[in-house]
Amino acid sequence: MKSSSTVFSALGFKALLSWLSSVLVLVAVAVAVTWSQTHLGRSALWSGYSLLAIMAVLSLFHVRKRLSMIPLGRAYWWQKLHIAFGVLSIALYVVHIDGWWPIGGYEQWLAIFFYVAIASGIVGYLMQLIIPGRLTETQDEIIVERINDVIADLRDGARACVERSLAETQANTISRFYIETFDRYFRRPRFVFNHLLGGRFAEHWLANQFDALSHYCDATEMAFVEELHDLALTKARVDYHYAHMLLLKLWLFVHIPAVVGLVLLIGWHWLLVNIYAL
Amino acid sequence: MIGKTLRVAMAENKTQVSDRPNRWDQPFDTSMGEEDVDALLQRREFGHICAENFPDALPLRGILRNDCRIMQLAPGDLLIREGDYGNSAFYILDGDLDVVIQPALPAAMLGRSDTRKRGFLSALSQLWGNSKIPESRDRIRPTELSLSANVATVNLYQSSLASKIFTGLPAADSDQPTLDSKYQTTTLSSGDLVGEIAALGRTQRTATVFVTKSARVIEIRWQGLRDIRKYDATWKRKIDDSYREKMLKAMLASSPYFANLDESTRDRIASQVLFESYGSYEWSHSYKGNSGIGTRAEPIVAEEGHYADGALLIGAGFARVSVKQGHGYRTLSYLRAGDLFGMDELYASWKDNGENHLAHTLSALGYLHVVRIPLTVLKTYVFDSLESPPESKWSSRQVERDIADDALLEWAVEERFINGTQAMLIDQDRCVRCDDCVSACASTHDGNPRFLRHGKRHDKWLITNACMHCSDPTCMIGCPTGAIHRTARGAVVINDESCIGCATCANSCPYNNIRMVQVTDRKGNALIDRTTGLAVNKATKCDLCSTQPGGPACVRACPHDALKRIDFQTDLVS
Repeated sequence: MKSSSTVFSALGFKALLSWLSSVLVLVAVAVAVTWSQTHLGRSALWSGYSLLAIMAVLSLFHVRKRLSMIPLGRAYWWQKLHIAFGVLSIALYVVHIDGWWPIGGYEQWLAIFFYVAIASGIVGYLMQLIIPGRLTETQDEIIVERINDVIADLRDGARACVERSLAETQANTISRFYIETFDRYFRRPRFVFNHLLGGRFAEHWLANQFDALSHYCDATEMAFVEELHDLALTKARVDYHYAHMLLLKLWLFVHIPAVVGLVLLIGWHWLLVNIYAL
Repeated sequence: MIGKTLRVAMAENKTQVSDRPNRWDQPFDTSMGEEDVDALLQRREFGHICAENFPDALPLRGILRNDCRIMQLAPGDLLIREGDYGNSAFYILDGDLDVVIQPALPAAMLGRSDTRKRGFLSALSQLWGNSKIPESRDRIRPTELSLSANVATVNLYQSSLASKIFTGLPAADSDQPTLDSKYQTTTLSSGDLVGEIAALGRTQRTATVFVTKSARVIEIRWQGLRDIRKYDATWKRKIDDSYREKMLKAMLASSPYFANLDESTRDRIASQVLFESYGSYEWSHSYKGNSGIGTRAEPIVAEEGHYADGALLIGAGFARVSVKQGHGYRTLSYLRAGDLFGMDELYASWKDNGENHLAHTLSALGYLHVVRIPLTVLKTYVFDSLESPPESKWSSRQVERDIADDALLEWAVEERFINGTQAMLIDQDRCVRCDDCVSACASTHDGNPRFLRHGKRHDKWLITNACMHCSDPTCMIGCPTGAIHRTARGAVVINDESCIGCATCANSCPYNNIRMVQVTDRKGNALIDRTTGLAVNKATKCDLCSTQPGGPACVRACPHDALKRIDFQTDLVS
């Protein structure tokens, strides 16, 4: 059981500060908007410009990543701020449009990009909580750029095993089984979706295949079957890594384009407001 | 594995009769002949050594012939560079050498890199100034050093900096130059021994020694020096006195148990202690091939249950504190230079007039140099003056912690990661494998990352292949140009310009954290050595962003707080 001081320490003072500052901003904006409404002012300006400033801070997180060579504070605290301000932006957005969904067509496109950016951000947050632990549990550590090489090595190992079995046992059971079943398995990552869902279909499938194969093998052949089984299980773990690494990479292709699109739409929205509404 | 292979080979009768490898199969210098040994034995310091005291397998003549070499030095040659680690001592045969006392010679003069921090704008300029071509260089040769083709000796007089240091450069007939008066020096001459403490104690050289007149010195590698000290009382006294004077007094003064004693008492203690060394000096070589050696294979310095005759002060290297647990040993802590073992138990037995037996075992991890402070000395000078009973940091660990709690410590000690003062530890449960740390490293090193995000793993902890800036930096032993050195802030760095690509450091690093890279010019053309026709290589490693503002970029760049630079002693044990 963690003591309260440990919990506080785990949360981190700066993380707490991020949340606190976002709450303060929200309260300040709420006060300004209320004041503006009671004084017949343009309350949307307060919430709009606050939202614009928050979006700018959120975008700076990406800029900070590019500027690792200068001391701009730890990325960890930037990320905490990014998350806190991301949540704050939802509240500000609701205040700004006075509801959850805007009326105008252009604003609805803007809302779509906003919600995709927010939703992908939340998904990203959950992914960073879940995926690292899952990868660690495999006991293997594979650099994503090397996955193809690792699979190729496993394939070569499997083929060499099959060739040796053919030469030593003079029986074609294993080689036939390899061509019919495992050649496809060793060619590229398999069962990606099942791996992502946390299923164990790969192991189940392999167990079935090897069970079927073992009916036709004698003791000499079984040594090769076991070797092949080990390689296949290793391949399953590599596939597991691949699936999760692929998801992490794909996430970037959702969140970043959504944010870029959102920023462009916000710019145009700001221009339109200044030309026609003020 | 090896045993199995051997059994199979023997079973298949695949054996070949051969001479057993001997210590002197590879002499220090093959040109040392019997006549050189005779000449050495004519000198008083060697002639007076009683050869009969040496065992038949280790004769004095053998040591002189195989563990020594004669060096002819020219004026300006650098013999010892301050801050280097070395495993040889030097005995001056003829000529004069100057020791620079203070201030130290400029870093550039000694082949060191400039580790001044960059300014903000200079750091920012890396954003657009970094090379797109991997491992490209503006310059691959040093501007301040002159390196000969075969042996990378450094001649201070030939350095362009020399004009700033020497008021008069030597003439062609090698007159002695005059060092700028601001540099205080002392002269060593024929018969003096220098560098013996750093060689035996595995510590940094404390001063720069260079040749002022043509000189001849005999270089004695540490094994030879150790054996001469062991079998000759005069040399033992000479080396021990030197150690007491140069090292021990400072160590005692910095120890909390001796610091409050007056200087004369500390001197009396220093005169009564014993020096011992355990394990292998070249532990890094055997470690690479025998990773995972258990505690039982380690030399025992003091054993649980045995009579304690004194406290043990660690002079250099590492020691494991363990206690018997079933059929194995449980590691409770590890000690390094300056730590003391046995003090609490000795004090308790003295206070209670009780049994004087050790409760823990101390064993050497690799090389270990210890100072044994006898119990009588402690009773006479120390115990009475202690304000509170000494307490070891590991005594309660055995009771308070589950066995599983210490798995990480066991692993770190077993793998010798305890050597690191800035080991890169990644929490794999937090790391999303985004490689922002690698990108940040590349962005501060001209586009080239200086570590690999893989390495050995225990549970969720990954120790990456990044330089750990070891407290016992085996990589620094033997660098011919002094390119690899420790900065004032403790980081071990390589001066790229004075690195000659010999790979001594890379081969010595037990953790494979130094990488040899082929370098190109700024256009990407491979650089080829004019003499050998081979590619020019350079040693590269993490420099802890010594020149960057804000410290290690990798730590700052991790958005998940997964990456930390840690010292196991302070961050794990304490």
